[in-house]
Amino acid sequence: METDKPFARENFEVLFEAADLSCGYGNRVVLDRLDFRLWPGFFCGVLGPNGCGKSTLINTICRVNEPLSGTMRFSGEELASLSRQSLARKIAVVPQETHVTFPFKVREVVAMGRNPHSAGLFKAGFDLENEKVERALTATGIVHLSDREITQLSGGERQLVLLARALAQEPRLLLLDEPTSNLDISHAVKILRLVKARVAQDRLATLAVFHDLNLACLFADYLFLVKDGTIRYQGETREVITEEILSELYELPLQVHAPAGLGRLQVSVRV
Amino acid sequence: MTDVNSSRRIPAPVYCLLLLLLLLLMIVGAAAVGAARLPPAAVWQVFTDLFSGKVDSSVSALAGVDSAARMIVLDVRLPRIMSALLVGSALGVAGVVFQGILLNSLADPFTIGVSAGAAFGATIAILLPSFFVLPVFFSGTVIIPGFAFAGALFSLSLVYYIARNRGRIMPESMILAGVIVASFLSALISFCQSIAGEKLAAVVFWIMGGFSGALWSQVLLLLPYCFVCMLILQAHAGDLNIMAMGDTTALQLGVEVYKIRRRLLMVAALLTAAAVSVSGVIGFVGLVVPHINRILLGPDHRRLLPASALLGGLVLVAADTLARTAAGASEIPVGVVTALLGAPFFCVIFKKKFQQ
Repeated sequence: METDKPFARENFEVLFEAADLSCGYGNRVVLDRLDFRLWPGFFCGVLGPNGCGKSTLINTICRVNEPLSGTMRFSGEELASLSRQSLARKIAVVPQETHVTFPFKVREVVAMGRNPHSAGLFKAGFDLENEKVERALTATGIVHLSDREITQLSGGERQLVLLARALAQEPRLLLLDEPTSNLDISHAVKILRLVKARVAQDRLATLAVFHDLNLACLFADYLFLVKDGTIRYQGETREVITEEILSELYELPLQVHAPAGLGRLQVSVRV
Repeated sequence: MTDVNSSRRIPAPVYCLLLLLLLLLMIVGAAAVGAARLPPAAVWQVFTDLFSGKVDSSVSALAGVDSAARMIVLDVRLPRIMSALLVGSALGVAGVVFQGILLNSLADPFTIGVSAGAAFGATIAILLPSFFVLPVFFSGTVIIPGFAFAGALFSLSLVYYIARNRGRIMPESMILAGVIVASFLSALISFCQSIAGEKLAAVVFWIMGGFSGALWSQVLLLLPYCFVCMLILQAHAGDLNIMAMGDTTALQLGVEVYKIRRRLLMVAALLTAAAVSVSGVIGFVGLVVPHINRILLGPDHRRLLPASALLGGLVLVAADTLARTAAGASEIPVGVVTALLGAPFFCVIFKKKFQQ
């Protein structure tokens, strides 16, 4: 959350790089020719009004949707050349909310995160005793839930399980698609704190879609502000969270405060 | 913290062992009952002779089992039991796969119209003028199943063609396409029935399903076929688990969703097609068996698949034994038995599960 250190981003190691990237569905272009980078050890956020293509961006990076044009590189490697399995060893996603039809146990769901690392026919992919599974359960503090069925959990608990599953994938890039939009503030902060800790300790690269401006101010090091199919502004959180930029982005008069001694910004609606 | 009773699961090895034991007992029992009642001990003797290689009838005669009993067991009842066993297993496994892939607990092996295709094929075969066909003897054992299988493949490719969109198959479109194709083929079958004349009874009886006239040759064809199909499905059991979390999640977890779904649908449909072409349309097994196992074992497909093969086989052997013995000399179509007993049984289980 401390942002005083000099950011000479050109000098940082680049983990993910998109060049001339267009995303969309069939003939509909949602995001047009984006250029951006993601760095290890940085918590990057995406902000923008509803329908601006934030989720499309996430889904394109993890190749649930194929890009319309442009290239994506992961540590120099062309993303399109990777198999889905090796991609899932590099990039993990925490979804917004998933509807689960079948009552798998929490431990089973987390063990699914090991699937990209298992190989061969009849592959385990479901190794319940795996130490990585155990570690992910511990890291997210849900060991006590491991024998519960996921269908019986509350929204906050379920989101922790999905985060644990993503961590069990041992990715180098973690994507979060509005991971906290259905959660109360304490669960939201808990989830984002856990992610922040991984970013700091494991130098995980993170790109999270935020709905809540104040949560973005609280956790993101760097922000991409998306509107009308392009990245309008990007920069350190402190640089881009300004009244002019935000008011333009959301077409709403917004006020930015910098409470003394808090070290971060706060946003509110001007009435 | 509320620990709901339904989350308790039976250990899969124990359950499967139990089913295997029951299945063995059921086979011996089923081979013993019928028009000629045989003592189970004699049946057992015939089995042990068979497996110790004493195929020559003169040898087992020494053991006190007469050759007539031997013939009834080996040539009449056992092929029928084995057919029912294989078809039941196939339907049980296919049911699990269809429910898992289509993410729909109402799905069964016939959801995507394979049965209508098979019934249509069989109807054509039965109505073909007899001079088209080889000797009448063949028509029941080769021609009808052959046509039924071809019909099933035909309807499958039709459904596949309709549901396919840019190389991807979505569950909803598969179900819709299945309904469309099935209702079209059903209309064709009804039309054929209306012009069938004296052959109407044969058509209707075939569609209702049954195992009378089962032959070893069918069993020997079906056995390796089913085995290979089930092996392929079992190899993807882990993928099925992950795909149950939804397409997006499965893709993000490294599963080639579209490729694997295509493969699983094909194999499960081929399994169903073979089963239907041997036995006619037998409902309820492919729907009920996966549900019972899911309640008892939980949703892990690696356990569900083998357990459903065993339970499906067990259920259908039991149903077929009832079908050929319950009404004395005349036979009840086995599809009628499975639905008559399956529906109420299923209701009770379902009610219980939801009341908890």
